Amino acid sequence: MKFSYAWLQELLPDLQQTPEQLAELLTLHSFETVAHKSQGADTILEADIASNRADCLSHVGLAFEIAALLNLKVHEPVVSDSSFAEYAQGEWKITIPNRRHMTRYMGAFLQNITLQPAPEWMRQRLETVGIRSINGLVDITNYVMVELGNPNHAFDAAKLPGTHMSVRGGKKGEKLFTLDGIERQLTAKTLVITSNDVPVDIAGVMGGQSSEVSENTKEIFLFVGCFNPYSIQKTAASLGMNTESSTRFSKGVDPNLAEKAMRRLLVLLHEILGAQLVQVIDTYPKPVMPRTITFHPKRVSKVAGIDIPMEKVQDIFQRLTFTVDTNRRHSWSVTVPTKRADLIGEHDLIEEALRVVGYNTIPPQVPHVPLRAQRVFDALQWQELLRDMLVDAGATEVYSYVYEDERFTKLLGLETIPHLELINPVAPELKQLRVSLLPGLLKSVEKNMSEWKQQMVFELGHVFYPRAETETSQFADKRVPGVTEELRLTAVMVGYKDQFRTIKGLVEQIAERLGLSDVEFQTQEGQGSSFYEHSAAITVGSHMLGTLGIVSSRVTQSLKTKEIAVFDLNADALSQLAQETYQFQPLPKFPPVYRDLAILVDPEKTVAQVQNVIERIGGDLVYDVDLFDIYEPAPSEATTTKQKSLAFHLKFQAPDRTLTSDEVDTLVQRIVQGLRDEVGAQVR
Amino acid sequence: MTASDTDLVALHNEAQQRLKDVTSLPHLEEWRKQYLSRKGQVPQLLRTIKDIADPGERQKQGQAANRLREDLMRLYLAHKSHIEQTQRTSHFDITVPGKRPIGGHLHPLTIFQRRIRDIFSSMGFVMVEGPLIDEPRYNFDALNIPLDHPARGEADTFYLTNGLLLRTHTSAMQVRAVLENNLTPPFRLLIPGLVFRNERTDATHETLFFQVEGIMIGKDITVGNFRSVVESFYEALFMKKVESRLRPQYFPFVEPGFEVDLRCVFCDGKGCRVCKQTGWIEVMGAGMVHPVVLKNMNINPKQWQGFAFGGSIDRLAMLHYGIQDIRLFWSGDLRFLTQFV
Repeated sequence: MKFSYAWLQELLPDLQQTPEQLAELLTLHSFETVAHKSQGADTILEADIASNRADCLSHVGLAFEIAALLNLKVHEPVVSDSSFAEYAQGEWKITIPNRRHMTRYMGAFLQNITLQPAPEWMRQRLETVGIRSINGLVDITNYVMVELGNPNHAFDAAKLPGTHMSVRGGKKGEKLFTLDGIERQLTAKTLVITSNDVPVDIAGVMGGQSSEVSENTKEIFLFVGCFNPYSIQKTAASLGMNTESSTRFSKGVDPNLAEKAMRRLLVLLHEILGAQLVQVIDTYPKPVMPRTITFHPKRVSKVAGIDIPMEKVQDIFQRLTFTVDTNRRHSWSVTVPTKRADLIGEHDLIEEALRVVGYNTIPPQVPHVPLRAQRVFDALQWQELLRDMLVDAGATEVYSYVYEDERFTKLLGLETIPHLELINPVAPELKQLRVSLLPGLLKSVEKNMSEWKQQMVFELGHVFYPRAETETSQFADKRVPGVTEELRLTAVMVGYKDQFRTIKGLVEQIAERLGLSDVEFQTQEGQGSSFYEHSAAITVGSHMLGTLGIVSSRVTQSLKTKEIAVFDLNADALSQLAQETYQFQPLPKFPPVYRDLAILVDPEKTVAQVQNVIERIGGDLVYDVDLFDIYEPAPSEATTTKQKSLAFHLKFQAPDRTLTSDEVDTLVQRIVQGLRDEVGAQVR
Repeated sequence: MTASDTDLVALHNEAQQRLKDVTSLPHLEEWRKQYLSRKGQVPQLLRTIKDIADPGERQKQGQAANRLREDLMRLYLAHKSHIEQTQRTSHFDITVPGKRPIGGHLHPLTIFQRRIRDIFSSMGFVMVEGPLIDEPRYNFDALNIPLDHPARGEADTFYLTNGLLLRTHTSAMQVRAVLENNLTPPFRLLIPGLVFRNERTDATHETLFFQVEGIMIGKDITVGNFRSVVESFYEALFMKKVESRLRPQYFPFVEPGFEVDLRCVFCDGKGCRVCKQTGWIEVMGAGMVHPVVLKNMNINPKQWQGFAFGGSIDRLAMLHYGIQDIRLFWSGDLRFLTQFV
């Protein structure tokens, strides 16, 4: 909000500070303020007034704040001292049917107006704070709003439908042309001022065109009131309008300010336009009284951490125009003015004392606290380990939006999975929350494709599902009713050789490092794998850990990429099942014996089948089986045999003796025989 | 011909001088033949010594000539090993590019968050994480944010069709963390994580970003303690002395509430582009935890007090790494991501 420095100088005759000094003072003690030159000799102070300091939304309000900080006196503007009781009678009537809408409604009927432009000094001040001069009447009402903080409105009394003024919510179908010439559709959320039940003004926001003052105006009905802040917020939001008036009402105007504003208006309207007061009405069903707060002055020092003398606190409170009763020894009774509706409890008063003293007078003090060791391995540390493992393997970490791009939802066939939805998304195609990290990763791959022929990217991030009553996953975050939040670790590889084995090896390495010993891979078909061409389900014991595989060619063709390999793991399960399991094994006492074995099998025979035979027949003496070569002729290749070739390094070792060559050769013979019988293998 | 002192010195100088010009092994061999081989000049000289008549003179000359031969032999061997060394290494090209182990890249925000966590861990803050989708009561009500607060509007907050919301700040986890873990003071927690704001994106605004929240409650945790903790955090983060400044600011869940500025760590407060010539950079919001919030944590505000703070990690990381556009963090662009190791 903009303030005129010259105007503040008039309200604070003893003010010595330059605009820049004043801005610095307010920034450090009240709210962020900057000084900048305006046209002419004046300087503008622009203050970012926090929503709890509605008392400073006027020049007099800010002058009182500055006066408290600098211990100055405020020279308040002249107000009318007429006895309102003498003007109580008349034909005008005000009602407030719903007290939740308004706390106070003051109205006055004035006659004998000779409309002429406002004086130069007044127009100059309005212009400095950014308000355009309209005519003498409107300028005076705006001037008093900027001076005292109470928005008000002058209706051309002759144009109002009647003399019964009231306030209510809009009705469906009602319309009102506002002063800016726009026709507004009213709803129940829109609060309106009515005249004989006809809407004539959007309450607290903008007047209506039908009762707008003009050069012909002779009589006005002057409105000065106080609305409930929430009802004006809703009204302004319902129409998408923000005005000087609605900004002030939304933050809260002191109901006890209305009378002062009315008296100030009467002085200016009379002096400048010759207006005569005929009737004044004050509808204030439940006057707001000053609040008294019990306050323990020692607590100021306790919160700050330095000693702040009680006398100093008392002085600050008095400068802030609080009434302090220090009769009791340990606690005071502090009565705060109604303009400070933000001050509710002792903590608020502590803040008042400390901010005036200045937070920066409190030096840093190292806290003294109990010391306790923390557990070393928690879920967070396992998660960081997972990231490190992927980076070590050559993958780059991506962060992507939690909003799932509809294009990828469709491409990957994720529509069948229930999604959570936003009411107000950033874009219509981003309204669903992601159920998989794959869309984000593939989007990244697609974007990078032109420059990066090989890509390996991963993300460790949350996915979201609506929670079904029957949900059984024991790892996901189910703290919030209706939602399952699950941390997933998903990686994507494009353009590498032997991608399936590489990505599977990575999963095996992760499992090993996390101490998960019984990880199994099972061929997966049908549901849940719609975006895969070939895939395996990964389990640990009875827990589903995730999937891995090759993405379907339909997806790769659509993205115009080469083959994509993926793993998608439940990172909540990983980090909760993980355990540090290093256990020393005594070193073998007898040397190993190595043999190589190369065989040909039919293509439908799996490596696992072959390995099972080797391990079963070899028994405990087979220490390690290492597949070092695999060759599968492509269907198009014109070879005599369509068989695939597998080659293994076999390592034999016994814990209690040195194996002899003969013994190992005999065992290999039995293995070869077994392979021939069970999987039809031929030794090459 | 008999040797004289001057002959010996002249021969020594000549041989040494000529050795300097020898750069290859064949040349060295020629040099050796000329001076040290059986028919070389030094042995020839030695053979003339026996002809010296005076025994004293003969002995003296003999010793000098032997010293000369040993000197030249030593020079010869040293020069030989020097030439061999040079030849071995001269065709080894050390300018070939190094072959690096295959390695990927952590996201810059992961790297930066680890630094932040490590620093707070070292001060005994315990990490907790909260749900990203939360209930309005934790995001707003428990934090003393009234129904009519503008932050609750759809213009700032993403709401779900089921009445829940994407949390707008990590403060949503303050009360939840204490209640879920049955925490009783004294304690200090660090809550890092994603938060969401429904706003138009540009170079400095995103609809999602990381925040770090801290809360420390004890018998007598003060504003002075807060200044100490934040200053030591930023000193560890920027690895230089910092100076904080607190300005009054209104957050419903703290009282007093302040905005924390640091004297600009890039220009030491002299004024630069980063601090927009003000000498200060705004780094977080903070304050003393509001008694209503303490009550919502089942903590008696008459007995316990403390501070809470929250700030954007992304903004700090942008300052720290010199990143100009916040949207790059979410771009998945490898040209950006591979700049961080």
